[in-house]
Amino acid sequence: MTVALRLSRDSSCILLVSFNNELLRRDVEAELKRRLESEGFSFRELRIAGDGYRNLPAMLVDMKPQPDDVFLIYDLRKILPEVLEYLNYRREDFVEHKISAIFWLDEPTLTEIARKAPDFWAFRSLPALEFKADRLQDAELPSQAEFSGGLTYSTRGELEDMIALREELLKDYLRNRPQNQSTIARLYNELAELYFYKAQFDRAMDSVQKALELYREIEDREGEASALSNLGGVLKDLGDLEGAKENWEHALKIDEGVYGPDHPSVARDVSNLGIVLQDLGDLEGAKENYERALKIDEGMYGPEHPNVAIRVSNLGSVLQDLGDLEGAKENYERALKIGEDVYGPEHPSVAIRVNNLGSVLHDLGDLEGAKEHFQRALKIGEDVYGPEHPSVAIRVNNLGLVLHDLGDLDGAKASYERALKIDEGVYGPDHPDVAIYVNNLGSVLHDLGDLEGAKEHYERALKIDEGVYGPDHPSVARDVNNLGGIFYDLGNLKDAKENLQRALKIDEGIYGPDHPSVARRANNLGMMLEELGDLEGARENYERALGIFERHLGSDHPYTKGVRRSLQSLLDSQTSKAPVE
Amino acid sequence: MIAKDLDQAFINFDPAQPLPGVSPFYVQRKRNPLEKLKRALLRSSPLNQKFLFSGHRGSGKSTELNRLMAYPEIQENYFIVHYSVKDVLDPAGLEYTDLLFSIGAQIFTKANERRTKLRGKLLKELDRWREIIEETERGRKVGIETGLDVPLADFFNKAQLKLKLEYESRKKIREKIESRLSELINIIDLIIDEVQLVLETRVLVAIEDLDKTNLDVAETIFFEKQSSITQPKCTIIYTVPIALFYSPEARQVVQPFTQSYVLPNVTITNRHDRSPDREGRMVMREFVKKRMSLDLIDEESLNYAIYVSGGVFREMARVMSMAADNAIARGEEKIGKQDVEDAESEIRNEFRRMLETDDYEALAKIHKSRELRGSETCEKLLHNLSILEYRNEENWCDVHPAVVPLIAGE
Repeated sequence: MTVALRLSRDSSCILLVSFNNELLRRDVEAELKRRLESEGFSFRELRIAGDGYRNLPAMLVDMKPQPDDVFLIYDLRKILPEVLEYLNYRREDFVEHKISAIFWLDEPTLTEIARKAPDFWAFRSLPALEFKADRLQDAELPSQAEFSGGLTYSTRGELEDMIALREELLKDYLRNRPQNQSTIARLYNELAELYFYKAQFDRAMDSVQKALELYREIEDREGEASALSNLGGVLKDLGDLEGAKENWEHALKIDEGVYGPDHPSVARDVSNLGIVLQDLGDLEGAKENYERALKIDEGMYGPEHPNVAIRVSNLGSVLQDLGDLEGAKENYERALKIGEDVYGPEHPSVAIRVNNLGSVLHDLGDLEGAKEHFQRALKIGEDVYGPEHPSVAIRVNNLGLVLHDLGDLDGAKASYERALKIDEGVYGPDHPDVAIYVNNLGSVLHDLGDLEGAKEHYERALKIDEGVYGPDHPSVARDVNNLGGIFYDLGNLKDAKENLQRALKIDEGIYGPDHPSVARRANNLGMMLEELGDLEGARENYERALGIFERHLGSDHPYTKGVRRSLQSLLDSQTSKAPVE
Repeated sequence: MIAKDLDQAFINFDPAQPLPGVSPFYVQRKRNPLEKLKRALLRSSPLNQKFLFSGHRGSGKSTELNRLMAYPEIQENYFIVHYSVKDVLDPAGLEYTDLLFSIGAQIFTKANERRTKLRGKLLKELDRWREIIEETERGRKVGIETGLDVPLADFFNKAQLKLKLEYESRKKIREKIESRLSELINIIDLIIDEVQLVLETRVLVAIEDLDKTNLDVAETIFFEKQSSITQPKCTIIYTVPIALFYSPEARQVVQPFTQSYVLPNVTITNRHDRSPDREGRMVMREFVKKRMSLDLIDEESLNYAIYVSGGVFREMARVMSMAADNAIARGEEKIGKQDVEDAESEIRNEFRRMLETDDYEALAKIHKSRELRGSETCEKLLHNLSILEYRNEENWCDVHPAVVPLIAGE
C-alpha cells in the first residue's frame, strides 16, 4: 500500500481494503500514517454519516484535494447501495482531480462494489488486498510416531514417577543382576520412550542405543525390532527422516519375519513408515500404509481400541493433506471418541486428537470452533508437559493461526514468538518445526507491514527447510511462495513471479494438478501476472484456482469467493461484463 | 498307606485328587517328559521360556507338575507361582485377558504372601493402574493408606473374583483390560522384575486346568491370542488340552512356545495285534499295588480292570474305586470280576449319553485303523476321552475300552 501511494503522488490512487477486525485496521492505518507522514503525505479522514454523502466523488472534489493528500474513507456501507452508482459514473473525478483514497471496507461491501460498480472497481490501483501469505502447518505433525512400550501417563507427575521407577530398577539390575540382560535392555528401551515424551532427546537416544546393543547381543529379535522402532521415532522428531525410515524399515522386516504379516507390531511399523512417506510428500503411499495398518489392528482388536484410534487419526491427517477435509474430520472425530472413552477427556492422547480436529475445522473455515479446540488441547498440554514442551509449542502456534485469521495480529505474533522460543530451546535453530514457526512469524510481520522483517524470516525458513527436505517439498514450496509475496510487495515483480512459479511447480509435482495447495499457488501467480500485464496468463490461473477451490472447498469458502472476485474483475476490465458462474 | 480293606481302598483310589509332590502312591511311567522339562527349566538360557504341557485328562498332569515343583533344584532356582484357573477364574467362559490378569495377580499375591518387600515406586505405579481398572466400578475408590500393598492385594483378589463370578462386572473389567492390554503386560513385567531382583531367582508360573476349558475357548486362547499370552517376561507352563494338537490348525499352536510336552498314557496293548503290552501292564499293576494290597483282588479281575482303564491313571482309579464300591455293596471282602464288569457298564453308560450318532462311525473307523489324524472330529473325541492317544515309537490311538462294545455293530 505504501508503495502504491508513493508512486501515485502525482496521480490518483484508489485502494480498496477489506478487514474484519477493527483493531487490526487501526494498526495498519497507524503504521501507514507513520511511514507516509514523514514523507510529506497528509491523511484526511472522512466518516460517512448519512445520505448526504451519497455523491461521494463530488464531495471529495469539493474538499479540494492536494497532491499529498490521502483520504481515509470509513463506513461506506452506510450509504449503500446508492453510492455505488455515483462511484461508478463519477469515477473519472478521481483521475481528473488526482484524488488518492483508501476505502476501509468490510467483505460484503467490497463484494458489492465489485459487482455493482464494476467500472469504479476497475479503477482501483491494486488488486483487492487478499494476497494470502501461506501460513500452513497446523502442525501437530498429526501423525505421531508410535513407540513400542505400552507406556501411558496422564500427568507430568506420573511421567516423572514412571521414569524414576525404571531408573531405580535399572540401577539395581546393573549392580546386582547384570547377567539379566533381557530385563536391562527392556528397561533402557522403556526409558528411551519416556525421555522422549519429556523431550529429553539426548537421553532418549542414548538409552535406545544401549537397548539396541543389548538386544542384539542376546539375539532377541523382537526386542531388537522394538528398539529400532523407538530409535526411528526419536530420529524422526529430530528431523532425520532418512534415518527414521531406515530404522523403521529394518524393524518392519524383523517383525514380519517373527510374527507374519498381520500382527499389531507390523501394523505399527507400517504406520510409522507411512508417517515418513507423508512427510516426504508421498501422500498416496502414506494413505495406503495407514489403511493397511488399520485393517490389521481392526482385525486384531475390533473397531474401538486405542491402537485403532491411532490408525484412524493418522488416516485423517493424510486425508487432510490430500484435501479431503470432511473425510479427515470424520476420522478425527472417531479417534477422539475412542480416546475419550478409554482414557477420559484430559489425557495427552485425547489432546492430540482435539488439536487435529481443530486444525481441520480451521481448514473448513470454522475459526471459532478451531480456536476452542486449540485452547482445550493447549490446556491439557500445559498441564501434562509443562509450558516448555514441543507439543505445547504446536498448540500455541495453532492458536496463533486462528488469531491471525480472526484479525488479531498482535495476538498471533505473540503466539508464534512463544512457539518459536520453545522449539529453539528444545531443538536448536535448524529444526523443521522451527522453520514452521519462523515462517508464521514472517507472515504476521508481513501483515503488520514489516516487509523487511518478513523477508528475513521467510529466507531463514526456506534455508532450514531446504536443508532438511531438499528442494522439492511442500514446506519449501510454502517458503518460496511467501518469499514471492514479499518480493511482490516490495515491487520486485520479476523475482516475485519466479518464486511463485517455482512454488506452483513444486506443489504440482507433489499433489498433482487438482489440490487446494496448487490452487492457492495458481491464484497468487494469477495476481502476479495480472500486475505484469499478462492478462491471458492471469485468467488461466484464476480459472484453474477457482475450479479447484469450488470442487474442494465449496462455493462459499473465503478462498473461493476471493478468486471469483479476482477473476470477475479481470474479465470486466477486459471485455464483457457477464458475471462469473 | 496301602489299603488292607475295601473301605480304605475306596479312599485310596479317589480319582479326583492329584498326588502331592512327594507321595507313596506315585508311579513312574515310560517316556515321561518331566525330566526333559526339568532340564529345560534349569538351563540358564534361553530365559523366559513358554511351555505347553499336555496329556489326557486323567493322565496325571497335576501329579507330575506337583512333583516338578517339589524338586529342590527347581525351588532353589525359581520363585514358583503354581495355580489352577479353576480356583481363580471361570474356566468355561475364560478369555485371554482374564488369563493374563490372573498371571499378574497371582505373582503379586504370592510375593505378598511371602512378605516380599516390593519397592514403593512400583506399588505406586501398580496402584495407578488399579485406579484405572477400578474406575469402571462406578468411581468407587479404595483409599491409599500407609501399607500400599494391602489395597492392591485386595484389588487383585476382588477383581479375579469378579471375573470368575459376576457376569456384569466381568464384561466391563475385560473391556477395560483389553483396551489397555499393553499396560497390563508392562505392569506384569515390572512385578516380575522386582521379584527377581529381591528374591534373586527367576519366576516360574505354572497354570493348571486350562485343559478343562471348552475346546473353542482353548482354541481362541492358544491359536488366536498366543502372542498376547506369551508376553510376560518370565517362564510359564500352560496346560493345554491334548485335543488342540489334533485340530486342523494345530501347526499354528506351537510357534511362540519354546516346547510342548505331552504326558503319554500307558500303553497296555500293542498297536498292531492288540496283544498285551507287558511293560505297560506292569506299570498299571504297580499303580494298584501301591494303593491297595493285591490280596483284595484276584488276578483275572485285576487284568480286566487294567484293560478297562485303557492305560489312563485316573480311569484306573475310577474303575478301582467303583469296583471296590460295588464289592462293598455286595458285602464282599474282595473285588471280583462282576464288580469290575459293573463298573465298566457304568462308564459305558456315561459315554452313551455323551456320544452322538455320527460319532460312532468315526469311532469304528478309528478302532479299525488306530490312526490319528488331525480333524475336528478327532479333536472332539479326544477331548471327551472316547478315544485315547498313545505314544511309543509313533503316535496312535484307540477307542476307550468301555466304548468298544458300542461300536461293535458298526
